[in-house]
Amino acid sequence: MAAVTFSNLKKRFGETEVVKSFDLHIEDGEFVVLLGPSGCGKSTTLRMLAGLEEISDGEIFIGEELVNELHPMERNIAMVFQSYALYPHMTVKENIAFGLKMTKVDKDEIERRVKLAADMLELTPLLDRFPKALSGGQRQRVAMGRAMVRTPEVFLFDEPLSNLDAKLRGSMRAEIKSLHEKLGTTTLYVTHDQVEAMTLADRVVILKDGFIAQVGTPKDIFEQPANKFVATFIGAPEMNLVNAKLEDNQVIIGEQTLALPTTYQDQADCALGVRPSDLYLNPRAIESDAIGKLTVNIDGIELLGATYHIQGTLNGSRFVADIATSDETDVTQETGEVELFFDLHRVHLFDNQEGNAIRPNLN
Amino acid sequence: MSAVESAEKIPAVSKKRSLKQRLNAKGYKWAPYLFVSPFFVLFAVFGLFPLLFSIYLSLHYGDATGGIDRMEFVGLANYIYLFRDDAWFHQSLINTGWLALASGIPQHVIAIPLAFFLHTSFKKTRNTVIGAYFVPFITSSVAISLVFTSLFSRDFGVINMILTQIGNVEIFGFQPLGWLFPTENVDWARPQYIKPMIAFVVFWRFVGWNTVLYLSAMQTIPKDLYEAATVDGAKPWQQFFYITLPQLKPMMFFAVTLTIIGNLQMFEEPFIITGGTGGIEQAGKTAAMHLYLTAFTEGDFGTASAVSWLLFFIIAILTWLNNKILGEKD
Repeated sequence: MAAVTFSNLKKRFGETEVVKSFDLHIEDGEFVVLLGPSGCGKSTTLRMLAGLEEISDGEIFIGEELVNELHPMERNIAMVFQSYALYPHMTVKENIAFGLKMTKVDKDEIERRVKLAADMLELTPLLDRFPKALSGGQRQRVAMGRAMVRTPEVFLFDEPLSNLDAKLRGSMRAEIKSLHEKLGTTTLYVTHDQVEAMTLADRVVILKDGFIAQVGTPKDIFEQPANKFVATFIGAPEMNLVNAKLEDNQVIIGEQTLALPTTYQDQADCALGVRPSDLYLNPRAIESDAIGKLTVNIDGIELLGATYHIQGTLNGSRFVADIATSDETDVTQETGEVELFFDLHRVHLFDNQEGNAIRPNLN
Repeated sequence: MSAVESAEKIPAVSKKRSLKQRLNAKGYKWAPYLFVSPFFVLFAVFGLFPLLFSIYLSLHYGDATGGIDRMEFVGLANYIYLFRDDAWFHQSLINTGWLALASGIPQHVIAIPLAFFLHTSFKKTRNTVIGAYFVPFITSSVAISLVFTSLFSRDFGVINMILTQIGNVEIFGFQPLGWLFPTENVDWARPQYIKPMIAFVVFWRFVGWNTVLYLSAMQTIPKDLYEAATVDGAKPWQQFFYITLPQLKPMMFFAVTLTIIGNLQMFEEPFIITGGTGGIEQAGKTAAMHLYLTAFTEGDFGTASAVSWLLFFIIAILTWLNNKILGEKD
């Protein structure tokens, strides 16, 4: 096992710079997820670490060793591909053993390690089958087994669950998590699925257009997004952002004002962010010393089972609320305007120029 | 006209002949068959009949041009004659086997690495290069054979000119390459040279075709497999042996089958290169040539038909064997 350090990493394809400046230190044994929309450079970063993509600029260290010029096999990494990339003409056993065979590991040792991996991943009854005779989840496990037997220093996962159906994705997610807990190997995992990122990661790295938008624990990222991009990218439905003004610790949205419990610098052009799940119809449902209220124009109400999905408009911006159906207020009858309540400690403020979060004054 | 009126009128018309009745009429019933019949008629006359008639012929003796009633039923005598007594047939089979192997094996042994090279080393110019390799395949085999005949000509051929010039290089009165290269013009029509020459022409003609087949198969192998193998520590040559070759197996089966069928029926190249005679000592005579000469020179259609059926069985057996070796196993 080893730590991984990226230092000012860059990748250009011709004129296009895909990864612009990537600095990150991954601790030994840590599970880090690279999360971002398509084309943000997350897979490219992973592939540079794997050695499958040349590095345009910057350095990558695995442990203490600079690996920029090392061949993939010399880096002692193992990778699980989105397509699984199982060798179709080899049995499960041969697939798992292939890497060991290539690196001339002793036959008995290969047997032992394949058996260990197969037991751990419940692949033992499938060892003589060919990949085409396996289900998606089983193929995924074989791909993990193939990565595991090599006892690599770093595990790389490139969107490993995106070819699976939603139900299987959930159970495979749990398997990956438990595997990491058992093996404790440093892991870098690429995905565009925020649920995977939130559930698996020790730390999440959110990428946007080749830059790191934020690094933090899943809780940090959700509760304290560093900028508007992270705020809207994480959470479904996405966070409501309404243009506002900050004056004397008051947020002014059109005619409505909210008195904030903490002190802020004045800001003429900012955005107020409230998560749809933080909104209530009934102020008594909120346990807080500071409760805010906003009146929103209703555009439509949908029942999603556990919640009512209220779509509305506030100060010209879309404003969405997810209200638990257990809330005693009946929203289906609401038309025109609705009053929505929320904990003022849970609102977010962003500077509209740079998009960065505005933090309260410390004193 | 009101709707009620028109509704009343329709049954009056259909009383004569409803749509269903009209479709059931004789003309309609037969029309589809009439429209598809040209193919079946032509196939029956020029495909199926000769095929079945050749079975009939192979069991008879006599000149078929003199009428069927002049032919005599001889059972398997034609086949027995071929097996036991027809030395030229035996020679032609040996020649065919020799030529099939000598031209067929290099076709694949060279086409696969060549395709791998084109696949990995060429990007923008790939299609032009493949096109160049493919040209011999779409060129008339007669033209090719004529060109090669003149290239291999004893007195005026370019090949003899080059070889003898190398062989005659003199350094201080010695000819250091004389032991390897000829110093006098070679008669390529001699029995020991004619087969390699034919094999070379056939190889040259089909290597591009096989390269295209293998290249197209290589392009379908997912890039991920090579990346996974790279991460697994496989060097490029190991990737070729462990990933590329096994993934080419279905295409190998197809390409080798085509080669077996094509090479065992080899006709144009040896026919033109040997001037239709089979060459000195029949060294360049293939089974297909023997068939042709037996039928159209000697007029023995019975034996010729037996040759064609024997050839069919040999091809069938070899294709079956090929299927056992390279075919999909499930």
